[in-house]
Amino acid sequence: MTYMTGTLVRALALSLGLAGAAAAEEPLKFSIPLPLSGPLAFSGQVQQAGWQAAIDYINGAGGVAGRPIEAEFYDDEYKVDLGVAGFKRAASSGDLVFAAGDGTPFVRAISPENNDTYRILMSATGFASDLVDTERYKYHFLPGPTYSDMFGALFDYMKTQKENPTVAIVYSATEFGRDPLENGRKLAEEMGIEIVLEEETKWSGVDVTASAIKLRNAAADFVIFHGYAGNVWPEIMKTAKDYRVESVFMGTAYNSDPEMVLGVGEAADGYVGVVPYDLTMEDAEGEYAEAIRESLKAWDVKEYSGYANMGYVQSWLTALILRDVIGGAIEAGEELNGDNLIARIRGIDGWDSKGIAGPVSFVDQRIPTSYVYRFNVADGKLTMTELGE
Amino acid sequence: MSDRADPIPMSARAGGSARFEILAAVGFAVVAITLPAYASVYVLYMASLVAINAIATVGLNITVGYTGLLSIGHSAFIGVGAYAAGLAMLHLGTPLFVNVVIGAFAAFAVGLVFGAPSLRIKGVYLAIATLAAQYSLYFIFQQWTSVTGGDRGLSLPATDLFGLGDVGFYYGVVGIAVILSVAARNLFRTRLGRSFIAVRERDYAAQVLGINVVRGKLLAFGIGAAYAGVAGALTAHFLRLVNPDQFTLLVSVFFLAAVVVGGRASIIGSILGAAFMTLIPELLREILGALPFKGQTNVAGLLSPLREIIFGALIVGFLMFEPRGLMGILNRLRGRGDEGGESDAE
Amino acid sequence: MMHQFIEFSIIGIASGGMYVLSALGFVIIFKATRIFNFAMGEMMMLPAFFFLWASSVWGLHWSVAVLIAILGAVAVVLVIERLVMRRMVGRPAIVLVMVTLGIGSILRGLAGLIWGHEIVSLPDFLPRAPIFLGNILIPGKLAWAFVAAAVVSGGFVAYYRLSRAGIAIRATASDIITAEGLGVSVRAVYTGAWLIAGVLAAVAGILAASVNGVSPQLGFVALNVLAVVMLAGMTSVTGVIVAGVFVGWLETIVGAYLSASWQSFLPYIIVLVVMMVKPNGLFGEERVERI
Repeated sequence: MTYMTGTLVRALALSLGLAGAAAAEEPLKFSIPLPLSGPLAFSGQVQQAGWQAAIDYINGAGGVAGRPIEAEFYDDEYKVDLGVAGFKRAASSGDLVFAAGDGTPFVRAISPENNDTYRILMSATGFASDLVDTERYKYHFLPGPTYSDMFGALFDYMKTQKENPTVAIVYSATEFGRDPLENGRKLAEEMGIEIVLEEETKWSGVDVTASAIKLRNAAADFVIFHGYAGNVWPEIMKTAKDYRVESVFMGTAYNSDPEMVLGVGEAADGYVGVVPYDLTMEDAEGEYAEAIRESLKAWDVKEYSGYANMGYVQSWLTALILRDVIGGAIEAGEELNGDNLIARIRGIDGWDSKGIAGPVSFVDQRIPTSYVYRFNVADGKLTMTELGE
Repeated sequence: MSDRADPIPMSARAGGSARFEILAAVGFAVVAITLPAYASVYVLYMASLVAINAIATVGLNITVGYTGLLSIGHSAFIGVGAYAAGLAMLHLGTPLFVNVVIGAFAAFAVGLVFGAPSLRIKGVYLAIATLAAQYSLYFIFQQWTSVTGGDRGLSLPATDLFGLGDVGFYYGVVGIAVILSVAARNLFRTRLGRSFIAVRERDYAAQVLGINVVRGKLLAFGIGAAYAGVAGALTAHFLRLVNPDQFTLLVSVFFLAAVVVGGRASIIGSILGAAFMTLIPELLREILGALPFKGQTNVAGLLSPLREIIFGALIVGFLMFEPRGLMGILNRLRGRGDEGGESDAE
Repeated sequence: MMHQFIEFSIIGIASGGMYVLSALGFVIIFKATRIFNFAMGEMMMLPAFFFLWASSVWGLHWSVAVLIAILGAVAVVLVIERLVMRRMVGRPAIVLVMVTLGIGSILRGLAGLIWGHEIVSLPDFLPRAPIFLGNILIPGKLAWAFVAAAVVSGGFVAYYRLSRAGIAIRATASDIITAEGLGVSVRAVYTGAWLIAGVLAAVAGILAASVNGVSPQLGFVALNVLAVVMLAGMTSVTGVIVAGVFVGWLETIVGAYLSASWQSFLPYIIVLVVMMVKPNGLFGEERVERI
C-alpha cells in the first residue's frame, strides 16, 4: 500500500530529522483544517490565503524566535469527523505546536480529548458563545468576540438610536444560528429592548416570502440576521423591502463581510454589520495593517477592493499573536505545550495589534471588542462608516 | 424484469478453493495481529476505520445483496447504534462490549420498523420509503435535543480497551469484525439465510415453497440494521462524539457503493468494498499532495468534488461492467470465471 | 388572521408550481422507462449553472441564457442516456436506482470542480415588482416563476396528450410489447422521455435557482419533490399537478405556523404516510405484479 509506505517513510524522516537537527531552525508545526469545499468554501479559501500570507510574512521576518512556521492545510469540508481525523493524524507525529479549527462544532468535538490527551494550543474561526467556558475549552483561544458579544454591540448601537427599540431576530435553524439567542434574550431584557419576532428559517434552499411577510407584520425598528453565510438573508432583506418594510437591517460577523454585502447590491444600502476587526484597509495605519494591505494587493486571486475579508484578517491576527506567544515561550526556555502557551495567551493585556483591532486583551480566552459599521452601497460601490466599537 | 440478467453468486464457494482460503485467512490474521507493532498511529486509525466500515457494509449487503431489498437509509441505523451506545456510555457507564450489544439491539428494533414497508412495496418504492425513514431519523437526532444533544451531539469519554489505548481498540474492532463476518457467512448456510436469497430471487415461488417471506424480509432489514448498529456503537467509541451530520444520505450512498464495488452477496466482497471505499479518499489526498502544484492553495479544495466524482464513477462503472464487483474480479483472476451464478455448493 | 392565512396560502401555491415541473420530469421518465431517476436534482442543478455562466460570464440576455441552459441540459441528458441508461435496460430496480445515484454524484462533483461550492445568486431576470391581488401582495419573482412553471407545465401536458410522441410514450408505458408491435420505436420513446425530462428539469432548476441561488447542492431540493411524486402516484400526470401545488402550499403553511425544522421534515412525513396508507399514491394506477 503506497500510503502506508509513504507514512512510514515520513515517520522515519521525521525521527531522523528530530534527532539530527539542533533546535535552531526546526520548524514549528501548525495544523490548519479549513472548509475548502462545500458551501463555506469561499470562507475557507480566503482564510487559507490569509494564513499563507501571514506565515510568509512572519517567516520572512525571521520566523518565530528564529524558527520557521510550517503549516499543513487540509480540507475538512466543515465536517466534524473529517476535522477530528485530520487533527489526530497531525497530532500523532508528536510535535504539533498549534492546531487551528474551522468552526465550533470541531472545537467542541475535539476539546475533551485534547484536554486530557493531546493538550495542544487551539484556535478556531467559530465565535460561539460558550467558548468563554475556559474549563471546557482549556487550550482554545478565540481572537475575536463571541456571537453574544456581537449581539451586545448591536444592541448598544440600537440604544444610541432609540430609547426603547424593538428588534426582530432572523436566524438559521442550525446550532450556529441559535447560539446567541439565550444570551441575547437576557441582554435585551436588561437593556430595555423588546424582541418582537424570532424567526427561524432553513439554512439554505428556502423560499423566504413567508419570512418577509412576518417581518412586515412585526414592523420592528431593527432586524438582526444571524447564522447565515451569503444566502437566504439577502433575499429576505430584498423581499422585505419589496414589502416596504422600513426596519434597519443588521447582521453579525458572518453575514457582514464587505464583499458579500456589496454583492447584495443596492438593497444593502444602510445595512449595519458587526465584525471583529477593522476591515477598512485604505486608510489603515499600523505595521500589521499595512502588511495586510500589501498582501491583499499582491494577492492574485481577488482584486484589492479597499476592504479586507474577516477570515483573512483573523488568520493574520492569529498568526501574529502566535508569533509573540510562542516566541516568548521559546525565549523563556519553556516547553511548547498547551499549558504554557495558553497561560501566555491569558496574560495578554493591551497587546498592540498595530492597526488590526486596537489594543488587544483576552478575557476568558477571547477578545471581547468588535467594530460596528454602516454599509453604504450606491452605483456598485461600497463604503463603510464606522459606528464605534 | 429478469433478474437472471444480473448474475449474483447465490452462496459462497467451497471445495477446491479451501486451501487458498485458508492461506488467505492465515495471511490476513498474521498481518492484522502484528500491525500495531510497526504501524503508525495513523495507520492503526485507518485500519480501525476500515474494520468498522466493513461491519456496516456486511450488514447492508445482507439486506441489499443477499435479500434484494433496496435500502438507502443504512447510515440512519448506524446513527441509532451510535446514539444508543453513546447514551449508554454517558448514563450507564457501560463498557464497549456491552454498548455494542445495546447498539445492535436498538438498531435491530428500528430496522424491523423500517422493514415494515417492504412487506407491501418493492423495488423503487421501497427505496424511497427507506430514504424517507433515513430523513425521519435524522430529524429525530437533530430535534430531540434533550436526549441526543441536537446539532451539538454527544461528547463521550475515552475508551480504554484491554488497557492498551488505541491499540486495544484496534484489536477489539478487528476481533468484532471477524466474528461478525464469519457469522454472516454462516448465516447463509442456514435455512434462514437461504430464505433471504429465495426472497430476492422469486418471492412468490418462495412463498409457495413454504418460506415465510414476511419473516424473511423483516429479519433481513433487522439483521442488516443490527450490524449497522454495531458499527455505530464502535464509531461512537472511536470518535468520542456522535452528531447528526455523521449520518446523512451521502453516508448511506457511501455504503451502497461499498456493497456494489466489493460485490453484492459476498462477505469477503463487503470487506474488500469497505476497505476500498475508505482508503480511496486517503489515496487521493496523497496523490494530490504529491503533485507539483503551487502551494496547497487550490489543490486541497479539489479533494471533495473529486471524491464525489470518483464515488459516482465507481458505482456506475462497476454496475455497468463488473456487476459482481471486486469479488467478481478476484474470482476471475483465480480462474473461476463465470461460476457462482446459480450454483449452490456446500 | 384569515388574511394572513390567505396570503401564506397563495405564496405556497405559487412555490408549488416549481415542484410540479420537477415532478413531471420524474414521472415522464418513470412512465416511459420504469426508472426512478435519482439524478433528477442534478439535472436541475447543471442547467442553472449553465444559465449563470451564459448570463453572468458571457453577459447574454436572459432569454438567450435560458436557451443555452436548455440546450446544455439536453446535451448532458443525451450523454447519460446513450452512455449509461441504454445499457442498463432490463436490469433490476436496485441496480437502476444505484446507477442514477452514482450519476447524480458524478454531476455534483463536476459542478463542484468547475464552479466551486458557494451558493451564488442568479442575476435577476424575473421582475421584482410585487403584484397585488386585492390587498394581498405577492413578490414579483415568485409570481413570475409560478407563471413560467405553469406555462411550461401546460405546454408539456398538451404535448403529452395531443402529440404523436406523447401518445407513443403513453402506449409504451401501458403495454410495451403491443406498442412495439404497433410500430412504436421504444428506443426513441426512451430517449424522448429523458429529453423531455431534461428540459423540464432545466426550467425547474433555473426557476428554483432564481429564488434560492445555485450551488452544487441544489439537487437536494429535488428530494423534496419525492413527496409530491409519491403522493400523486408515480404514473399520473394530472395527479402530479395537484400534488405539487398541495405540497408547496403545505410546506409554506408549516414553515409559517410551525418551524423551519418541521418544514424540512414535512416531505418525508408525507412519503411515510403515503407508504403506509396508499403506496400507489392518490392517483397512481394499481401495479400488477406479474409472477
